[in-house]
Amino acid sequence: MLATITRRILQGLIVIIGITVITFVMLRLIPSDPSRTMAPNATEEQLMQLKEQMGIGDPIPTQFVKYVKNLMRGYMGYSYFQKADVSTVIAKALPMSSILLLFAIIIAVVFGLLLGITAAINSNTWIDRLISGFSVLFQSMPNYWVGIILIQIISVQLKLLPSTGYKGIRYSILPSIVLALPMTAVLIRNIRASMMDSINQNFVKAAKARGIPSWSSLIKYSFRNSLIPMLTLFGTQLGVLLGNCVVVEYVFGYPGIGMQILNAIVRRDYYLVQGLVALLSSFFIIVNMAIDIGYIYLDPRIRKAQGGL
Amino acid sequence: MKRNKKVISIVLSLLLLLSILSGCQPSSEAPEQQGTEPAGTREDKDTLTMLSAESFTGSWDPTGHTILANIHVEYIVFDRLVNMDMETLEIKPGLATEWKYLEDRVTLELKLREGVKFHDGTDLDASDVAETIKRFSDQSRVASAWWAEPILAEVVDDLTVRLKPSSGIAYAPLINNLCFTPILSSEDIENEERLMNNLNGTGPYKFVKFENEQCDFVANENYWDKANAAKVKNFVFRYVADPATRLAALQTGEADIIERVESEQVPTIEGDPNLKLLTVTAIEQKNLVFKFQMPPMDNKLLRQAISYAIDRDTIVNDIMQGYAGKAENFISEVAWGFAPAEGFPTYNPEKAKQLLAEAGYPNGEGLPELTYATSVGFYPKTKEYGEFIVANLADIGIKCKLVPMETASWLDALYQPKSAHMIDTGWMPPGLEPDLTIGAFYRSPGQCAFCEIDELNDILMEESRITDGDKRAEFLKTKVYPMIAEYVPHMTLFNSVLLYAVRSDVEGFEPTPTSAMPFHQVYFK
Repeated sequence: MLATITRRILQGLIVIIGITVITFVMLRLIPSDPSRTMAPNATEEQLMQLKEQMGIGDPIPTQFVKYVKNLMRGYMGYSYFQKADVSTVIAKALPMSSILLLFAIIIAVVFGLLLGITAAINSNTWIDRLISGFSVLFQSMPNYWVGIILIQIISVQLKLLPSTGYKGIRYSILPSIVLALPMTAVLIRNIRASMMDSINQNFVKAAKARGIPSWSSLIKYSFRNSLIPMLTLFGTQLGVLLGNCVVVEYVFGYPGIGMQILNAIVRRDYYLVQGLVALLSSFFIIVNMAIDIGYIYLDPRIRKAQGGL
Repeated sequence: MKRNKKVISIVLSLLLLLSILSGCQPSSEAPEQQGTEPAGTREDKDTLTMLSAESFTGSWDPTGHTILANIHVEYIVFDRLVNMDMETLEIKPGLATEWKYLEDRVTLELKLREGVKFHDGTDLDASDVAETIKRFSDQSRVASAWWAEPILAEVVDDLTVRLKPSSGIAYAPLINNLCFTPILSSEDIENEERLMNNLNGTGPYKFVKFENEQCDFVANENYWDKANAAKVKNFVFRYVADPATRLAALQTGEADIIERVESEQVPTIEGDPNLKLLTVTAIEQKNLVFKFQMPPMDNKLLRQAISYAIDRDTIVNDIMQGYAGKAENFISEVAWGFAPAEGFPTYNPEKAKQLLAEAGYPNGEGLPELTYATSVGFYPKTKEYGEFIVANLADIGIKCKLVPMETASWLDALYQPKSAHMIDTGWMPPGLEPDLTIGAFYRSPGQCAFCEIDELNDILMEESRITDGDKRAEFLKTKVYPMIAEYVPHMTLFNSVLLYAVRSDVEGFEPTPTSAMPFHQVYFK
């Protein structure tokens, strides 16, 4: 068990290092650089001066060595556009995005489970078809469009919630809903399929035959058994959620990680992009690792194969 | 027991996940910086909120960038020596109360206002002015793009300063350039770190902080010009990238002023009794730049042919839906010294075909496929009118490929000599001085086009030496503009019309043709 976790941590570290290198190189290969975006019409000499100030005047290999050395000391670099250390920028934006993600996950999980189970129990009835219809709708509507429509209805027409920026928790509600919709749809469909599959398994039928009430067998056997594929799905969906964060934060002018990364890429704010990409990839890897460990707890077969606990 | 352990483990895992997701709680400070209350819940009106379409650089040294968002806020934090009346083009006193050319007609002497203080409490004196002008015109500084040569500054006494071009020859744009040059504190200039981290001026608003793409300002209660002091206590200038979000925030009352309204949004604004639309013809023009170092764009007749092939009326009336002005010169009609340019190309496909043949490419034969780079998501409708221009060129036999680019890549391509045959751009100088446009584009090595036209260069140098306003305007009209029309280093497509929208209770906001944004004059009804 410990060996498995250690192996997964090492694998995760290698992936993070790989992503850091790729991000560093790719940023410097694409056209333009931060000095140009700061002073578009500057001469080559002036640009060189700016690059020196920004710490990107050295040849790329030298920059990389310096960057790695700084990283080893826990220093992620300086955002010349934000006038702050990358870690400071991240520390301010991360809580904002965390609130969004947390709300979105709660909304998606609660509604995904409720509607997914309801659809499974009432399979092939009008309820099932209605829920499935909504699920297709949620998944196919682009985030950007949903965001604008919700702003128009909820903020502009009904004046219930604010539309842009962040000044308190109310500012996170609308973007969270937009963020949650596609994930809710995926959860509904998968929970339904998984539950349907479990309901038809022999052990559930056997439980029913022994007179165990249907709701009890549903929760104890069908639902629990369908949790394992759900966990895998949750891991991948979290990645999608992080990606969608960029679009949603842009639409709502929400000052989180997604907005920061978008602005940083547009302005070629090298160190900030590198820091944010490393953060997001680390987050994704940690969540997936936690999910892998979750399998071991949820599935006795895996636990046994890993040496048991 | 075993089951309990499992339950506890799952709960702990979930808690771990939640704690990772939620991170630490938002700091007590950060959320306070963002946004304002939505409509109906705004408790007072002591804060004016402006949503900007462009982000800040975060580096506050005004000589270290040419970014419009920064220039906008510099206008309310700093004062200038003199100001130009945007309608009459008359020069009016600012920090300088008097100014005159000395007998040599080269040196400009200015008398400063007494008793003006910077926001940090230090007094304004001649050394501040001298150091500011030297720094701005220092050719190693980015903002020196507005200055053709270094300016020497001499402190005569505490309140008198003399400015003289380093060449020792008269420099006509000098006085006009002073109309947009913010006066910095010499103590800040000495301490570069201070200059880069703070905005310390003498203007109607004081800089408070910059965080999360938002700048906060507070009224300067000790402002020397009581008639022009800030009328609203707090001012928030925030970057919101998406035009639809900017408009929604205005509709809900979260914002009071928004800029770069899109023409499609006009009916919504006009149909909302809580909103007002304001438009102004800008000093900015949209140009199609020909890259001289990309053959065959060095062929004057080819450039002329392309210029005559573009149906600019259709671009203005149909594609821009009337929210653009028909250009008649290579400078905007609001610029100082404007007059319709003699020989300015107008849509004439037959003449274009004839010029193309004279250029050595009858019906486009022998001409390689040209590349036309354009930005997407920066200026409105660039792709739409880009496609239309490609079709115009096809009509006379020129094959052309449109290459849309994201903003940073396009900016890089714009200032590279060989990135494309043609590239479109806008140009928003900070003042109405014509040299800020024609000097930048056509004086060797002309920016963007990388043109080196000796005859044009010489005539521009001659023009910039004429300090008599009337004579200079006449020279521009009879010599300079026709010569630019002959060489067409770029073709002007149209004059930009800037669209702003404000809440109906916002009064006193009069957008200007330049980047000068007089937010301090705004008040709530």
